[in-house]
Amino acid sequence: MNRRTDGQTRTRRRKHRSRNRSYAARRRVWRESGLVKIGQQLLLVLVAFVSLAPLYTALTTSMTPRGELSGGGIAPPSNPTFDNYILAWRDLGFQGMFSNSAILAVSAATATTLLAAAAAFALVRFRFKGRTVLMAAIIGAIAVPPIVIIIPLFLTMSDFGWVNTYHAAIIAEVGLLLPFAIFLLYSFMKDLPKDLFDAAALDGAGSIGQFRHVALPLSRSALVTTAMISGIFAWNDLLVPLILWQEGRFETLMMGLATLGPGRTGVRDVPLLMAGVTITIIPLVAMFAIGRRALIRGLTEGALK
Amino acid sequence: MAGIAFDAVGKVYGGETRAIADVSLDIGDGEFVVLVGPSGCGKSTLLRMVAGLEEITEGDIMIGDRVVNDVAPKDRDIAMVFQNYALYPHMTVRDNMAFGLKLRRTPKKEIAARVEEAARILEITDFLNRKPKALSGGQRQRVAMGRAIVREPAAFLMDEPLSNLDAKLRVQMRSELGLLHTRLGTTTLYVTHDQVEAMTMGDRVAVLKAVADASESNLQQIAAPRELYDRPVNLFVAGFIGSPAMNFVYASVDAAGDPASVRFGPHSLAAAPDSLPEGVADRSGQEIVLGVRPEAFEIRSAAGAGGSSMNVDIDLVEQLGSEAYVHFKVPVPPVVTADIEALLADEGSDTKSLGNETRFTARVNPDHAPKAGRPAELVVDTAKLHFFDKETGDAI
Repeated sequence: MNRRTDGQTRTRRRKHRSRNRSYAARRRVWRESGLVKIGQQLLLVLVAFVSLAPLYTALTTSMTPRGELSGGGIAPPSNPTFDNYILAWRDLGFQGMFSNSAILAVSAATATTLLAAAAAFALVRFRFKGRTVLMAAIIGAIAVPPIVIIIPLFLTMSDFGWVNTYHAAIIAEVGLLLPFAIFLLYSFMKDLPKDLFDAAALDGAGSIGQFRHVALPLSRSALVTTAMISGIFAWNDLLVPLILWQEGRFETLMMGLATLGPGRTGVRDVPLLMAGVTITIIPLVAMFAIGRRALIRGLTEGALK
Repeated sequence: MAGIAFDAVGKVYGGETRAIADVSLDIGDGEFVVLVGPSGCGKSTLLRMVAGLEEITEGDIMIGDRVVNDVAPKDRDIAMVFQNYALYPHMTVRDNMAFGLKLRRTPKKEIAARVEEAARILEITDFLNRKPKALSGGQRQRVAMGRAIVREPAAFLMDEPLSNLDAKLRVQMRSELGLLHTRLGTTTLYVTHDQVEAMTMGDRVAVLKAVADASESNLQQIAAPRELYDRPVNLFVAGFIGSPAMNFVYASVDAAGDPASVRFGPHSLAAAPDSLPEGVADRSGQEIVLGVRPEAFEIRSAAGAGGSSMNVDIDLVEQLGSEAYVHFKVPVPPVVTADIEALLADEGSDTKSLGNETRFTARVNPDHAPKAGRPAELVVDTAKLHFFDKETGDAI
């Protein structure tokens, strides 16, 4: 009697389990079915389209002869030309603007990354009074919009007599970029194993040696990310060069685009503007293509454990 | 090479939390000394103070004949092996080992020669061009050792260097480290929480205990392994060294008769008066703490006739093949002192877990192991009894 009851319970349990299994199996089948995958792919295609369509339009429009603007559309121009590029590059001064933008972006990115690395290392390795307050101030500074401080910045720079000098905009740009760069590198370096620094100290490295031989090489991906983000920010920045580089010889690509852009009387010359836009974004696209993996690694990965 | 000396060394964190108090000990040139103790006893802190990675807030530490309190780590001429090896992941094994020498501007030829030599000793020549990532735990351990020995430092500091290895490899590396020390003869200060490592590797072993304030010292006893085992100075050392741990029970000694008798609960052991430590006779009639190592017991059938014995009911028998552990209870409330509490805390339990009876473990001949649930007669080697003051915990 007893045994039979046991047997029945077991059968019932087995049945119950099999029902559960079939439910899980059904879910798995649904998850692995083509439908879900197709949905995901469609979404990605849509996102890619939204991102790429403006670039495509800029490219095709820039190759349309002047005055032939058809009003957009996705068809490539019937008789493509590079005239707009030649005009912008040679006659409208985009060549000089390109080199100014490059000077600003490269110097700002380099200086920002090195200074931020040193600061982050100090914040991670040294225990000093006011460290927490300093860290909070740095993080708080990320939230300050550049537009708020641009006038005081201009006044300070003119007090120094630095307006219309290369270093004025570079220093200002570095100042604006540092808080975020320090935060990014600090988050990375604080996860580096402490023992490595201790080992280096016993091996004969002072603070600078530990920075050079341990912190910097181990933070390579984070350094690349910081440099790329800083470079992009400086390259794309209009405000700082507009205020501190007022002479024509300092004009950057962003300033050039602003003059080509829509005025009060409407857009002046769209194909020419698009040629300028394309010139401006080519270096960024190239940089992303080269540094994509390092950028993703620096943003998503922590330090090795 | 040089010795290391601690003179009344103390460490207080942030002006309030005390980690180390009044540690004084001398480590001779070429000696291998092990610091052992439960977690939180300050052993790693002491080691890091020698390395210069922790500030010394009281007393002096000397390496050779130089006080190093204010000397930077890099100028102390010591090498350290870390628990997780701390190999530079971006450098090859060769560069890891050469790093310290490069920073000291050693000529390239000499660096190459020393690295090759160390790699040969440690049998890692084949891995010299690999990164640490591509090595197994045991190989990384060897590289970490190699990085220490190429420097030819005055002393080695080792912070639980074997604890990340699996059990088998740990045993192997333990003997290799011992051989390496014999070969190099470099002064070594070795930290571990594993008493087997401590007992097998150390010329001398220092047992440390956590302290709350400056009224006591972390250092409980420093002695050769056998001395530590045979003559522990207090309950803490007696309870920490030895596995299974020493059995403790409240007892009283009647030293008037011949033989003298040691009584606890229903049991009475007869002992020759001259086999008892001096001082025990003075405590005749008083309650003291009796300590009996598990191996002081033997089953009657294995021990043969004669000797003092006690009859107990066996609760549990653990047969290990080479020996058997026999568990039984004595109807006496368990011994509770500060030392016992500290030892229990390290095992993650407290005095409440002890109940109202005292549990005993005996290590007996596996061929004569009794059955659980049956009575058995255990012969006790009364020459191996330990006696402690029940208030202070000090050995009598």
